[in-house]
Amino acid sequence: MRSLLLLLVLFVAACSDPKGTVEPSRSETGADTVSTGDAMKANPLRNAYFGDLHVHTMYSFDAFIFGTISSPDDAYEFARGKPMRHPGGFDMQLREPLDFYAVSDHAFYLGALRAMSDPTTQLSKHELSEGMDELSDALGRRAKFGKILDFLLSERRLEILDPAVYKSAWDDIIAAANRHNDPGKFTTFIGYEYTSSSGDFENLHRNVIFKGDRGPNLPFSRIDSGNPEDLWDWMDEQRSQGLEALAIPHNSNGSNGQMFKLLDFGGAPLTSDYADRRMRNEPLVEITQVKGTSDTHPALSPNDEWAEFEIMPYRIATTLPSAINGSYVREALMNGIELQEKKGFNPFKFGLIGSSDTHNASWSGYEDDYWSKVGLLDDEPVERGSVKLAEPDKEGNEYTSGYYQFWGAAGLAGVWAEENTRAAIYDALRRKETFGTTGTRIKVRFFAGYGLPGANDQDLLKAAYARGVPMGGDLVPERDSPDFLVWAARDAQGAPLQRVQIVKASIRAGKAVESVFDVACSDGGVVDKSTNRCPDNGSSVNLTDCGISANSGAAELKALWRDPDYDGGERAMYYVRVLENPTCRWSTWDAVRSGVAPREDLPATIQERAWSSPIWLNPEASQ
Amino acid sequence: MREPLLWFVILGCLLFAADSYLNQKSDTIVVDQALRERLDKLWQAQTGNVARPDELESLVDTWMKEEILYREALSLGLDKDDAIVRRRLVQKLNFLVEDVEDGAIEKQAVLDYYKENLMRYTLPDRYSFAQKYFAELNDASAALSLLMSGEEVGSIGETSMLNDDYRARSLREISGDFGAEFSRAFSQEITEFNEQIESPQDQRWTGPIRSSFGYHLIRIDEQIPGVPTPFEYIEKRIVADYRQSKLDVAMQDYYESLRDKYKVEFR
Repeated sequence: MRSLLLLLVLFVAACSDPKGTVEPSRSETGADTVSTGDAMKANPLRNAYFGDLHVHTMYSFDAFIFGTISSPDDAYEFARGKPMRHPGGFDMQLREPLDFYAVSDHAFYLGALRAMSDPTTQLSKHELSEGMDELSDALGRRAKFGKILDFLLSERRLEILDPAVYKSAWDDIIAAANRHNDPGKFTTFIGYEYTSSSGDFENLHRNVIFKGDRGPNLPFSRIDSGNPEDLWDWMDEQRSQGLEALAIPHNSNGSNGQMFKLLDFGGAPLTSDYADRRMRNEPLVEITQVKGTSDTHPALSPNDEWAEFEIMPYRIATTLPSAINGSYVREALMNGIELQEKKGFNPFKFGLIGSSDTHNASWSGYEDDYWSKVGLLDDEPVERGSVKLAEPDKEGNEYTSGYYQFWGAAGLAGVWAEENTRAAIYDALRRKETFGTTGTRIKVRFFAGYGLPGANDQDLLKAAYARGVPMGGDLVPERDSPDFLVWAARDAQGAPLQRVQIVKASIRAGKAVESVFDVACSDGGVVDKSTNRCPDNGSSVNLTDCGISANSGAAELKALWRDPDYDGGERAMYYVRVLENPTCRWSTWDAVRSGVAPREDLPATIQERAWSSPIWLNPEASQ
Repeated sequence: MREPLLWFVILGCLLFAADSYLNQKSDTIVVDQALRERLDKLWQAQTGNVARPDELESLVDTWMKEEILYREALSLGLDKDDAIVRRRLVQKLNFLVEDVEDGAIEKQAVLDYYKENLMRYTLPDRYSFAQKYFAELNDASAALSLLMSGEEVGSIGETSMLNDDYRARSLREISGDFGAEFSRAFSQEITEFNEQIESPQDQRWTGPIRSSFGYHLIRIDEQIPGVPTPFEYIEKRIVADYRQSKLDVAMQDYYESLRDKYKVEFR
């Protein structure tokens, strides 16, 4: 039997030969036409493009053992709309192709586990490789993963670091990205994940995205250093040699307060130099993904009724609790302006995106077509805790115990760029003209300036760019509040919009404080000036079939808003949050399809949403 | 002629016969060198060390205990009605069939498969079109009359985040841009477009078509036929699909051959 299984693995490996798929060049796919993106010519007023900058393939040590055999080539083909076979035996396909995609495998032991399972390699002779060709069910995979992870974190970890394996995987990732980059239609980026953590699973992970068609000889990984500040130094060094890149932290929610703590890695107070290095290298943060949303926490934002949203309370890959302070985006943005006010530097002046962190090579953001993200470990509703076990486990749990139930179908990175090319999209990432969504394709515009035209002006966007700054920008405030232009459009295949909000942070009595304003309501609703809230628009969800009410919600919401609490010339930070009408959460869809009641301790519905990058008002002219 | 299924069945019968012969005395448990080596290897994988003689002895004891309990469990029929055991055994049988089918593949067969399934490897037709957006149906209908009377198009329609022109979009992408209802109506307009392709562009505005946003007048400008992706570009994927299709057939044949052996009573 063993040899049969071995052959099977070989056979599967042969089918996923990374050089197997070749994207037809432009001339073969039919004339000089555009297949993605809205306009053929560059649009100076910029188009919205959607993508995922956080994708793991068979080269990631964990993804491989979860059953993923899809290569970077397969990942890019999937992003362009082709079906992909899930290791669980079903097909996955996007309803609408993505505009850009970046494979970001863990540099840490890149390609190593795949090589361990391949009997022709030296690595397969290592004792840790025993059984790698016989992995079958989720239980066995989880057990083996635990064993391997322990080994990788032990003194003996270098035994399975084969430089040739590392290099050939990295070269293939670069080649695949370049093979599939198709200017004007589909953009890819060379990238990888820097997978560091401090203490006990305190997540400090970052994705590194390169601007051009060249990558470094090898990525800088946790094996080189677990200190993210060393990553920044390495990136500075690469930049000085012409290799521009940016890093995007993710899952601050699982960092146990480490991602945005007010001390450096070594425990010293933050300095202006630290802020410079961090902002030079990390202009963006991933606010949402499968492993939860990191906007804010109900304990941090008690007056934000939408703060309780897809909270994932654990440190990554554990059920250890993650401390709240220092783990959420809004608090960090607030600490940033407070530091700016008191000390003259801001280490947390970042823009926002979403991405998936899929470990199946396939973006997974549909609530109603959810395959989660860890291959064979959570592809069944019972395994991810949305449907009861056949009988309670030894501890009496009715559902699979763990953390998959807290994961969500999210997210997407949105950018405003002139055209769908690497250069245009990378520049948008750099200037933070970006937004994040929970998987829905809401488009959101956000500008601030003085003398912006009325919301119905024909040349609205032209004037907004000319007289104001877009999301991600800085504005020097005058005595009065600037005009804020907010404009959101629904996902044509999702639910309609319920409301648009502006989240504000400013300094009161030396401390950063937050407030949430509704600024545009659907169904003709008017914001109540005393509560800053829209009236209830009456939308509802039928939990027996997940149908949504047909007659409420908006296709677009637009507003020109002034801050009623603006305190003459003060420092402040504003970002937009757009909310859809409620829809079924993936766990409810699982239950409905299985003909059982949704799990009571999980929210039955969610409000899909988008967040813009902030705009900062800085009283000092040069920022 | 190559008959993998036949060989598989013959091989299976032989194995079964051999197994029955060897297991005639089911109360005998053999501890031989091969077993000791296997246990030692497992021990090494778990601990990183070669098992000492006393460790090996303890491993054999543990194995023996497990084997006796396992056999007793079998004889008590505890494997019956166990979903995990059932699934695992079915999976192993699947692997056997897959292994039998894992032979060499002839290029011509793959080429034939590609030709037979050409639609799977063909890009969909794509369309270029212009659109004018209206929140209300009445406004859209009124605008259509204006357009038909030769009104300047630039001044018609309400502002939205949608574009005025879309180039080379597939129906799936159009569905993404405007919603499924719109794309269904759009595909009906295509038929009409192909019939009246000769008429002047300005007279080809149609609608209103409803979308997730409101109502639209559209003018289809171009249909770009889908092109099959050349075999050479995606040969590996076609080979994988071909193998999978053969496996599916083999598994189905095998199942059917077994199915005949069983009498199923529906009560």
